[in-house]
Amino acid sequence: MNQSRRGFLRTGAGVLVAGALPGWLRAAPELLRAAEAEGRIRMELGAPGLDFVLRNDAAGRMYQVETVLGGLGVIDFDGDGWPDLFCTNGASLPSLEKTGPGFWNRLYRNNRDGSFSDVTEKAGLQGQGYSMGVAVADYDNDGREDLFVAGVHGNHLYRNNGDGTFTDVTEKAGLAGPGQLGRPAWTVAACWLDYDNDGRLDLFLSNYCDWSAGTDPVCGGMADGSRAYCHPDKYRAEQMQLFHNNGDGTFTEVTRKQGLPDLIGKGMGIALSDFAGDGRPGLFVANDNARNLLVRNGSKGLEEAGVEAGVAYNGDGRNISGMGADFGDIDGDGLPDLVMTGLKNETWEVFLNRGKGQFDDGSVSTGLLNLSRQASGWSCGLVDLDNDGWLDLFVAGGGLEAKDAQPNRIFRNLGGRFADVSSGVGADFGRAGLHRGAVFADFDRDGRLDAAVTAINGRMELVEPDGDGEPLAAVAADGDEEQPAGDWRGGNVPNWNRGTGAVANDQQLSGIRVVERVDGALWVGG
Amino acid sequence: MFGIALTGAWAGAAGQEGTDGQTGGHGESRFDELLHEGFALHQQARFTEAIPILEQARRLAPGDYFANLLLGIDLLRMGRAEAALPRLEAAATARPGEEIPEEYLGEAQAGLGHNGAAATAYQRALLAWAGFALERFRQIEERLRDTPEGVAVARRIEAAAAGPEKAGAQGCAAGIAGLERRLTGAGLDGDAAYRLATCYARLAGQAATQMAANAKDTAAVERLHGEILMRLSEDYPGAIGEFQKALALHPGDPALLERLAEAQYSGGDPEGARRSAEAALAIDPHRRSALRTEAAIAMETRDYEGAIPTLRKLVTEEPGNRKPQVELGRALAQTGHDADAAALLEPALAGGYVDEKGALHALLARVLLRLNRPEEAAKAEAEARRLSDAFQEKNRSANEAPK
Repeated sequence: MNQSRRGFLRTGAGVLVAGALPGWLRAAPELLRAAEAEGRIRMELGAPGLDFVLRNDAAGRMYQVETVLGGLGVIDFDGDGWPDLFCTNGASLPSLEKTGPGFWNRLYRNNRDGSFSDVTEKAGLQGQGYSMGVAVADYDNDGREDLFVAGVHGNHLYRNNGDGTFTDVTEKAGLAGPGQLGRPAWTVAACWLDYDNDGRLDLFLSNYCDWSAGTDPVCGGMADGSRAYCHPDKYRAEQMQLFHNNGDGTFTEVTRKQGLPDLIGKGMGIALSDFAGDGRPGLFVANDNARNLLVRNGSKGLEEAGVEAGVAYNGDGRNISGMGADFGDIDGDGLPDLVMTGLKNETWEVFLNRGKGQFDDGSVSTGLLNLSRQASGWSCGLVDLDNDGWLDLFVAGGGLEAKDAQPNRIFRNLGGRFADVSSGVGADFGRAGLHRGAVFADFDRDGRLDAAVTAINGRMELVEPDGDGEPLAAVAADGDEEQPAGDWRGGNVPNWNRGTGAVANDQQLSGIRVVERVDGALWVGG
Repeated sequence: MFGIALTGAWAGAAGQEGTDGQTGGHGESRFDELLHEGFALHQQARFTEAIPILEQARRLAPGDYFANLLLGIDLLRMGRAEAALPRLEAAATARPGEEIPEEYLGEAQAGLGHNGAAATAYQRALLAWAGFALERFRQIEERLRDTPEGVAVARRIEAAAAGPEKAGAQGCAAGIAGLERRLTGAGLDGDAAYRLATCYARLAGQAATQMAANAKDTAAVERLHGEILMRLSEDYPGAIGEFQKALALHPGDPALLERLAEAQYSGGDPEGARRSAEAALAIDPHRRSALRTEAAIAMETRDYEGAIPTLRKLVTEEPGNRKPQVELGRALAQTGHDADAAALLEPALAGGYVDEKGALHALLARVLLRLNRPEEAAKAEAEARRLSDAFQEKNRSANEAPK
């Protein structure tokens, strides 16, 4: 086995073989041209004041942690009804310390005029350690949104004081230390969900691997410049963790109690949905070259059902570098399907929900298999960017290293099949970078979803549709009156299923709402 | 290469009596009959049927070059390397100057993990020897990257490669077997690894020089350069260029075409790879590397229906190789041929086919479920989880990295 991820992927090189494609796939370019001509998705970049630069402190040693940071969170921290933005950041290596303002996490207040202001210091959210992802929710039911920041060997819970400041309550909440793992965890992503329906949000952590700077192996070539990030198989996987919200500001780890000791993997993005249609949220954890996990919240409690459901391995029955993930109804049958991104020379996966907890490979039928082969994808979102009632796919794009910078991608959903419209959505959109985290919200409250995207060692991008799109309310399904156009929550991730009313109703029935996504994960609040 | 060479030699061989063999009279015609029959089956890749017939022929002429060579090759293709060895050795003894039996001997020894013996055999077949030496150099260097000590050794090797040649290849050829033995022990013998890697590199270079000096045409040298670029440097455009130059000298050489296909596929040109593989197979339908490339392209695009015929051919060509059987099982599972898929996947997994992350067991579980075999499906599913978790719980780099 090749030792490096770069080398490993290269051995699997290969791209589209036009001659081997079924007829409808060969027609994809025509569909693409049609979509571009129709001009339903046009994006512009930029937002004054949003000057965040994600720093990973890569200096040639190729520490594994350098590759997967950059989570973002949408939070209305001041309760003004306008979505603000929280950005996680790296730290010095190998110390894992935020040795200067360049490594601070950042909170940006939405000025309601298209610009943002950095309010990090006032909020006290500079952070500690090498941060990875963030999950936003009102965990203490005080009406204010709080922040959970995932990181390498240290997570932090910040309680929103309601006056523009936050307090680090990690210790008090019982979330400090390694917990039942017995060793410091590298948490990539987290999500809030009320797994036991007690009205309080519990916390699920997606942990990656047993890592430290001192034991990170050397991979790739020996000559200068030929080092590479090690393949994930070099590392021992970590166990996922679940913490029960006790309702008094504290949490109790219930990983083993809830029957989850077998949730082992190299956890990356989390997607959350009532995919079984029983009113209970379950979750999917994309794993990096390990079996993906599907946690079903059934009548017997939580159980892992990835193999049985057909999502543990890709449609071809193999592992890929699972990165971001999202649930959403791709084919319009009312059931939440699943998408998972991976790295270049692999293919991103679509798992189509067939009901009764079963999924089928939809990568070929949706066209994503061949559209994705040459791209590396990280955070992703199934979001209706053109307000046509079909969920499009936005993917943060970028390779592992600077020499493999890539643009973000938008795949327009043409009735259950994707067309890559990235090249037609604006000149700036094709900017190459090492994009990582992505969140979606209607930041300017114009009724259309925007995307905020981080890029390693580059300025973050706010991607907004230009002025031609239809108002969101005009195509909203089932008269979702609680989320009118113009409210950022209406334009935010809850509308991932807009236009496919059944699933939107499922979300309401299950009592959850999606608040954030970080590194491909969805975060829910009650 | 073998099929073409033997076909060309066959006319002469069929007319020779007693050259290598020990038959006479009626036995000769019977031997001739059996050898023809065995060869015909061999050419159709019907190795299982060919083996007993060739065995009969060999009993009639125990020292016959062709009987031993064909039998050795067919046993090798059936995954019976141990049984193939004496047959290939007998062929090599019958024709000491021939490279073909040495090449297969090398393949058999390498397949058994006897790299020292493989090197000895390969050294008598220049082009194959250089390829083997390059591959072993790459394997050793890759292994070295796992540990701090290995990293240090690899740096020494790189420094030696970059600097002036201080020591020649003298003693290397004789010492390889011993060094290989030292490298098979537990832990890393850094000195052996260093000496072995540098020996392989030097001897491969020596072979290349020798070939360049002696070759009547330069195609063999270009092929070797192509191999170096493809296998060591992962310079696929460079390798493609070398193979194309060689093909300009030997248009339609299927050995070159299949290597070109491999380089094109690895370099991200599957369409070119498919064309090259098809061209190789049009000349020699038994080209296994070309078949593998064709199958890989189809499987990669999840064109399972398109992959199945190629995989079936590959299964026939390599009956002792589980991998094409498993890939065929995978393709059949994806196209609704569940019973056929299970018939391939179940014995492969029961026979210990590597499934370290449990993916194949998971696939089998779904197939068995569709075949209404829920209990066996549940077992396969549980095994998938067990394998996956066991793999992920291992730490392959603990305490190995430099600080």
